Amino acid sequence: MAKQPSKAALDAGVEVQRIQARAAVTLAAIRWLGLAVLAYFGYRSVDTLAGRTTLASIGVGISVLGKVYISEAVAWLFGVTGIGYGLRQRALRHNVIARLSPAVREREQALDPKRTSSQLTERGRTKPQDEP
Amino acid sequence: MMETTALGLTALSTTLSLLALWALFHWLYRDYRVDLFRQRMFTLRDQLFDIAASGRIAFDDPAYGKLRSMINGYIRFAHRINLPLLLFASRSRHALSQGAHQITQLTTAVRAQPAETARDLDRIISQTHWYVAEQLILTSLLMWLVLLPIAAYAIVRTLGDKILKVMRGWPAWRWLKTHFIDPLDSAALTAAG
Repeated sequence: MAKQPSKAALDAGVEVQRIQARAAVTLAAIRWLGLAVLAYFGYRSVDTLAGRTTLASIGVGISVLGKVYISEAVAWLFGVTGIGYGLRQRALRHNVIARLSPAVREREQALDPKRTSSQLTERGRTKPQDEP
Repeated sequence: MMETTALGLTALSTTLSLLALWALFHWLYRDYRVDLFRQRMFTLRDQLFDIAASGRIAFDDPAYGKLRSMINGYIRFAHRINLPLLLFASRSRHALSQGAHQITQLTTAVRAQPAETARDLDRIISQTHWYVAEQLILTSLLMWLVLLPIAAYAIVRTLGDKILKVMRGWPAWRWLKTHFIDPLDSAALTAAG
């Protein structure tokens, strides 16, 4: 029969869960609040243009700033391509983990039958139940 | 009118760029750091396994078991390591006392090993702590904005001369000197008359 954890261990587990929940909420608040503030600035920028500025004058503005926007578009393209490249590389790395990790596990278990695991998925990702 | 339009478009474009940077830092970069942290922890766990496989410590030794469990815990919950967690944990007396008890058990078990093995296990523990500290600092925007410039300033102030001496040995130094340092020196001499 499995040994029952003590009350102190259970209390500590609950406390750790509570701390993790607080930290997760704080982090989420920082992330989304920052995003909301920036979205508000974006809205204010559009608001400045809307009503006070006609489409024609936006066209004039764009034509004046044409050269600037072309270089900016290239920068955006570069950034987006870089992100795509990074995501693809990450997916490939997880594929390799999925392919190689079972062999490593088997070899280690041959030496250490009570081998403990990190509890990640086969692809080396966080298990859904461990997500905040 | 055209000036207002240009300013509005610039503001919009800047905001979009900031939004993209914010998302990059809080989602993509964080994911990358979590993967990097896990990769480093796996390397340390492999080193620990190799020590046990070489027969220097038994697989059922408490020192091996506890250290491996600690590394496993860091790997599993790497995505939850962040500055708010550290701050909340440091304020929780209950978590601190429980943590202190477990760390004492681990330290005692490591000290009970032969000197060479204990040194190697200590090195793995120190390396683990270093990676955790790095993870806390480099995944926090506050740390990036406040601590890193201070650290960079302290490093430059402390090691400035030494860095320059090392740089003078680089092949690129001549190019840097010709294109950036010599013109400045020349300008200063000219200005001085």
